[in-house]
Amino acid sequence: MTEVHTSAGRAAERVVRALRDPVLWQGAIGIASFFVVWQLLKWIGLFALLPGPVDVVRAVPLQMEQEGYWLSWLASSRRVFLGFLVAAILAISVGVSMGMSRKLRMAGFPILEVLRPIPPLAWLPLSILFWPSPEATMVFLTFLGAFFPIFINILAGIDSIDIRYIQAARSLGAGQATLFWRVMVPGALPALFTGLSIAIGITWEVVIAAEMASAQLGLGYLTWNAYMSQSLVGIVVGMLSIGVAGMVSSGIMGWIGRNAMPWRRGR
Amino acid sequence: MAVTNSSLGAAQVDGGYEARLRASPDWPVQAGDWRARLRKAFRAQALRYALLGFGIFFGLWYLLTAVIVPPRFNYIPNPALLFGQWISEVPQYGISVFTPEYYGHIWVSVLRVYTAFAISVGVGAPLGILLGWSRFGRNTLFPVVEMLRPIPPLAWVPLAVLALPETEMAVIFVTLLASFFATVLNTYLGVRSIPETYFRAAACLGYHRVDVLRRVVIPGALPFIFTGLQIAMGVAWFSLVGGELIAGRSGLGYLILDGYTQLALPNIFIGMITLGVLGWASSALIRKVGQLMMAWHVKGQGGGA
Repeated sequence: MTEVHTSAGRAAERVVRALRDPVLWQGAIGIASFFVVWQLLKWIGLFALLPGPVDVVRAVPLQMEQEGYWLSWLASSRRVFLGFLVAAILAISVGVSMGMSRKLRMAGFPILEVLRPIPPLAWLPLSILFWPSPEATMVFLTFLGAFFPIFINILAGIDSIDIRYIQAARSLGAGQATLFWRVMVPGALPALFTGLSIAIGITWEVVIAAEMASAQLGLGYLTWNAYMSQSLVGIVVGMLSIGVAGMVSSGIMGWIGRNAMPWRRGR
Repeated sequence: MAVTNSSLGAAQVDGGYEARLRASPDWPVQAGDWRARLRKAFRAQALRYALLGFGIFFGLWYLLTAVIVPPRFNYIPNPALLFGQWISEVPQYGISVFTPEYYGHIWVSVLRVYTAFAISVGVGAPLGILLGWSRFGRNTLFPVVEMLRPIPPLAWVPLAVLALPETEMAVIFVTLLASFFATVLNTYLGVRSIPETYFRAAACLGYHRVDVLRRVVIPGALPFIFTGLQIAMGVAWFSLVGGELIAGRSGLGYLILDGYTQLALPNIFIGMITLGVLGWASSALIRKVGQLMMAWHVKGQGGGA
């Protein structure tokens, strides 16, 4: 009983302290003034076309009840997840093999460096022609967007491993498997997660554009559809949904990263 | 001499050793001896493997698109045809290095990217410095930046097209958004990375705010700023393509889309490769400028160090 009491007291104390923190209320001032300025601009008549924040807030429940809203979330997330997964598996295997074999790297790296600067979206028309279904097109594009950041980062991660760690492991009698699991993996993991969190952001961007061009469902399509029917509120709600989706995915990525690398938690 | 050489094994080994030494990639090449340089470059293992890799890549490409054509691979032009069209004086689809249209598209895209880049740096870098330097500015503005940042630039396209009076402005707006956030964030991180002691030292030496800005904040943040500019340039090209695909009437992104609608397959590839080259060249340019401006920043230390 007392334990509950003290923990509840402590929680309340923490809340009070958080409320007193100037960072919090100054942040609130910032966000509030953003919306106030937006609404004021609306009233003055600048950007008359844009919906004001009040209109948007009023429209959110309506838009969410709209047919296919949650299905759009599902469709977009599935595309992002699939493309991201394939990219991660391929990029990690290619990156690790190139990180461990010099010859493979000398042969393969220049080609990937030539392909890398081509923006993923530039592949869109070609992929529409090449892949049999729009679904495959979109997954392929998200794959392209995610592949290069993961690949580059894991390669950099392997390069950054101190050669002395490898030598130490070797002289302590580590075999190839031990070397891989005990030195290479933990050494490259921070860079890998940097790559993964960059990649997840890019996949959302690519999937939105691809959906605008060729989907029947999805958050990008939802926004595009609102544009086609000149519903500005719909566009803003679509944008907000995309923003939330991106934030949630980055959050999940960060959480996985923190849990996969408990030794970095203190930093 | 020949007799001595054959009879004395040691001498032969010696001569062979020196020849091998001269042949090794570590043997110094005299300055100006370009033939030796060329020979050395060709002998380098890295180059041979790279050529091998490219050989396999183009070989596979040719094989799959010209010799055995699996279903759907007919949409990919074979490399010989592609590059033939590219340098043809009378291209079948109206785009090659000899047509003014090609340079027109390049010029429009480059102009858009650099306009967007200039605006995003001009506004983003000062904002980033403000965020990093002033606590009140950081506390109030940073949440707003963080609220808007997760919305991908391309999600702004419909809104930008409707709200801005011209399509051109919409494309530039979409192009600058991502690079704006990259610049703001990296500048902010750069200012935050400056050790507190530098500010205190400046204060002890009686610096005014302007001097602190000029002598401490800007040089201190410069490595991060240039990392940010490189990222900004990359994402600017990325978003430009999206903007041009969805809302453009000209530019390389439009060239690709046009190639798609008219089934002018080589034009799609010409557009893609040109975009890749331009994007790469822009990043290289920024890296070069960064190295020139930060002579004191040891190369290899990187922006994140």
